[in-house]
Amino acid sequence: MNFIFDGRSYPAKKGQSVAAALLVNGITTFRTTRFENKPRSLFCGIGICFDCLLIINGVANTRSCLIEVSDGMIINTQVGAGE
Amino acid sequence: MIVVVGGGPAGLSAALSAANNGGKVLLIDGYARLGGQYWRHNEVDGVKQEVDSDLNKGMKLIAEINAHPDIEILSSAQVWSATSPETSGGPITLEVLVNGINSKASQIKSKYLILATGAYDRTLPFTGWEMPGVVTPGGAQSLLKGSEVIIGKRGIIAGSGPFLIPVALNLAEAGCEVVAIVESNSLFAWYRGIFAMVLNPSKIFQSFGYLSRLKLKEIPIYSKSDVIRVEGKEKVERVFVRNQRNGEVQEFDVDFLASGSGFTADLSLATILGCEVVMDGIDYSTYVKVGSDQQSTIPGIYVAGEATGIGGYELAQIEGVIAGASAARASQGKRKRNLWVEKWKRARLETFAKALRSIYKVRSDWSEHTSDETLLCRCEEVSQGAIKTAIVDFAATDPRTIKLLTRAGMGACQGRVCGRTVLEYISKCTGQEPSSADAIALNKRPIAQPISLGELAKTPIKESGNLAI
Repeated sequence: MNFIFDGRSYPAKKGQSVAAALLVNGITTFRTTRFENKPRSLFCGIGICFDCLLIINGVANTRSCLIEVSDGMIINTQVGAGE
Repeated sequence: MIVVVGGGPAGLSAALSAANNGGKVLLIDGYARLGGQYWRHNEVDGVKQEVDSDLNKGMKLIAEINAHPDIEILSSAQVWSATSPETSGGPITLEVLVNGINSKASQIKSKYLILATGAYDRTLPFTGWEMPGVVTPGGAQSLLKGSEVIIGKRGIIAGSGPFLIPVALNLAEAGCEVVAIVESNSLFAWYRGIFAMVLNPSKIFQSFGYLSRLKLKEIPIYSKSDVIRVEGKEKVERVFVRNQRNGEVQEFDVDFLASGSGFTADLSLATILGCEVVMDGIDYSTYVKVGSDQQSTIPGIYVAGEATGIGGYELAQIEGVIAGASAARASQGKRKRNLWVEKWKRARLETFAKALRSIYKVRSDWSEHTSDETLLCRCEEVSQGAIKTAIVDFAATDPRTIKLLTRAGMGACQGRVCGRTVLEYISKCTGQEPSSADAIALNKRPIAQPISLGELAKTPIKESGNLAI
């Protein structure tokens, strides 16, 4: 099973969260912040903190810790508010 | 029908207890798999994980619930708002989104509701805590339990409380090099909880079990120490740990840090519904006020588990059993059962929970290590300096004005992460103790989960409803 992150293909395992699939592939910057353009990643891991936001299959502000990765999923880094 | 919100230890026990007492139950859970945080489990690549004795208890309960004819399960469903009955005896309305933000919203009505919404980690701020590689202990644990991924190769587990130890052990046993456990309280404060330990002997055995596993893994514990700063380019590379006794600072090269000091109860739904919330004087934590049958101040709404006070999974379960039985009996017009055995067990575990909360008292003097550059509100990137300016230059003293001036707490997490921290910092600057009204107001969020404007627009809203902001 593979997913596409910022145009590149990476392997993933069924049952993993999107956040886990990125981290295990060495991707630690999920988004950059609106004001300071700083990198952010997984923090609370349970859907509370909204730090692990990504654009998943075209939907911005998606909490990657809550979504299971799927084959062919298209994931993009979120810049600022993701507009 | 009895609706249970939350599929962790409290919610699962409540659902089963209600069904076994003759109730018809709908169990709503936000995650894809039941179990909550404590019994989070996975099936990576179709391979079922190894089940230890702790998880086995949860898996048995989940299997029993799945097989019960009177329990219906709604997974991956978020309750984003709710309305209390307008007249006594009327139904409670829950606004539910199934499968996330882009899905269709629907309403569920029931006269009996059991809230088992759990808790999340509390992390005290330090400079650099927003950097990738810094996670909560619960975050590291959920990654491991839910996806079988370790957060890093080499790291530190820091903060305060008994939860740090199993997290460190799980990571080490999964192949991660845990260079230290950094505990801000003393390790030898256990004698203060001796009465609570004697009442709960199984906890003594559990503690010794942990200690021997730590020795086996050669994980050192730095007690009376705090993480005061992290540094790194794109992610954490160095962690600085300060010893409270002699002020010495030690530097560690790592690629992750899991930091957390206790938990904050999730009271979003309870406050939306108008249940009375009270503040604990120990650490400004807030929880829902319940009676001996776990019923809140609103008839028909019962609350079990961490939302009534942080106490661990065993207390959560017994509260769930009491809430479930009480709600089921009430829904059938039967008189209350005494439940003496359950209530004694609850009292015993409550004593233990209270002892733990005072042993691992979360320090409120964290601002000794932070600076004006340290972010307090991560979502809106509000620094400690910005909040100080609002207080000193704009003479703002109440949390609401400071929030409006700085945007602290106005971001996507709705103040869940920074709320108590900002409150403590204001208190430090103004010299005034946070009022319980301020602490309780922190939990007020008319919309508890993200919802698209399109779905929100389709939701019928009455003028007297709680959605009128």
